[in-house]
Amino acid sequence: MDLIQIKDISKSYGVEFSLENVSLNIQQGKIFALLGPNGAGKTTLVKLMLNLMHCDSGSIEINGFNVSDKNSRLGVAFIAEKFTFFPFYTASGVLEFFGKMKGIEGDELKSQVVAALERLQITELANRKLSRMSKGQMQRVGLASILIGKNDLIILDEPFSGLDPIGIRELKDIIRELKEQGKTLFINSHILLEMEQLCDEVAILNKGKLLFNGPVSAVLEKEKSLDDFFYKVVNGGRA
Amino acid sequence: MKAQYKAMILDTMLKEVRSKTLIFIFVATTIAIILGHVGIKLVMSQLGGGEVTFSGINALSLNFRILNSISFVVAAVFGVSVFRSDFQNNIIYQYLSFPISRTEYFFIRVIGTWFLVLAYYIYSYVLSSVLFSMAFKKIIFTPAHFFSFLVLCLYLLIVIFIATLFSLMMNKIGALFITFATSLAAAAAFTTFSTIPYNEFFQNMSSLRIVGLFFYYFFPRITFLGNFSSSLLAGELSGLVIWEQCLHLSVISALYIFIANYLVKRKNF
Repeated sequence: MDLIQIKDISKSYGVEFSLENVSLNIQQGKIFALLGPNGAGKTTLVKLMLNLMHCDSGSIEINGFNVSDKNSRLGVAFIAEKFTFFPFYTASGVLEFFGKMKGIEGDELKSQVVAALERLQITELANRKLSRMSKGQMQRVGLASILIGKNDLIILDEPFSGLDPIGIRELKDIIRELKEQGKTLFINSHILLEMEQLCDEVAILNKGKLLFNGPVSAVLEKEKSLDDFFYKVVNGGRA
Repeated sequence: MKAQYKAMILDTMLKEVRSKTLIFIFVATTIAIILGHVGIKLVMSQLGGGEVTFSGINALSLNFRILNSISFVVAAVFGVSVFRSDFQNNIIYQYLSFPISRTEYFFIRVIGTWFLVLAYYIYSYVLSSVLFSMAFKKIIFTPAHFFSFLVLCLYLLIVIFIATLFSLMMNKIGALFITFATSLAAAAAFTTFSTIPYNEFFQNMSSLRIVGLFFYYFFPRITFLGNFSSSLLAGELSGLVIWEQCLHLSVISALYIFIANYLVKRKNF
């Protein structure tokens, strides 16, 4: 079953296309990676999926709801490349706020917050304000927020950015755990090696055009690595 | 109320309560009220009895009118900041990824800001009522003070909406300047046209008069609300046709709110 349906979307800034007639279907329970060089249109696509921007043409549906409908964001968790929130919040305050915004309250919320802090190994940051955290600690708080609530779709924009090697390893474990729980993960990333190990499907964007969309296994049948395939596709046109 | 709404209103108040502007206004107001209280005690000790009750009510009314006179500035300053911190720090990305509509986001942010400004005014009114009552040794808060405050609440909300609308079209300083400039122009237009019959509106037409008529008809008549709140304190209701002013205020304010909400809905982040 397709959780995300992107049909012929285009988005331009002035005369330049950021995305041109892009269509994608993403199945439930898969780990999907959106790859592309800088300026390919990856972040624009994520913004369109979250209704942070409006398409010039085409449509995007999540869970059967058009993205202009707030119900499309029920069960969706999103973490931006650099997680930011108001600096006066503590780590547990952020997670409680995110939980309340997802309709969770009381003891259920408290237990989820404790569990998320433990899973990211940031229990000692529970009462520390964001203003007193390092970039990596902030990113961990952001990642803890995806564990709050019943999220069917998790959108991660450059999730490995700002994490140390241990953080990267832990994040990969979390992503695998979430997949085992039947969640769908949409990952926007540059780090091809990690994506090759983690993902079921990939799409490659360049200059606003979709150059490839298919399973990682199909990629590895054609080339030695995702890295080689990506390089050929981006420099040589459509695969 | 939905838990989401409560969380967002509290979040709005928490982010604004740290504003240096609010802290400055809060401290300055507290000092001014305490100084007023000390001054009145000094005068009372010199005068003795006499028209104490009458003077007390008048003194409190005067104090409220002074507080009301800066209400426009307080509401405008917070109105232009409603969305600014969300946009500047990209916190808007996280916010709009929650299952809320942009219309909900818009109204809750504005209402949260309004609650904060109201909290400041409630604090100021209560503090001055208590201190002035202590100075006059009897309770001098009257229903007129309460009704004046209710009108002021609506006034503050509309000013916040107006400032918010301008903040969606330009930067903070520009929005603040335009809010002040247009409100001053509208106040001048209101003073000119609200007391003359309609058939005299178009007599002696000049470019200034055309501008005045534009502001009179196409800007929310917040001056009417401000004057109405003050006239309740003074116990002298103006001779204006209140329902006509209220109707105009409702229609034009609704139009401004509709435009501001539309701009938020259409904005690309």
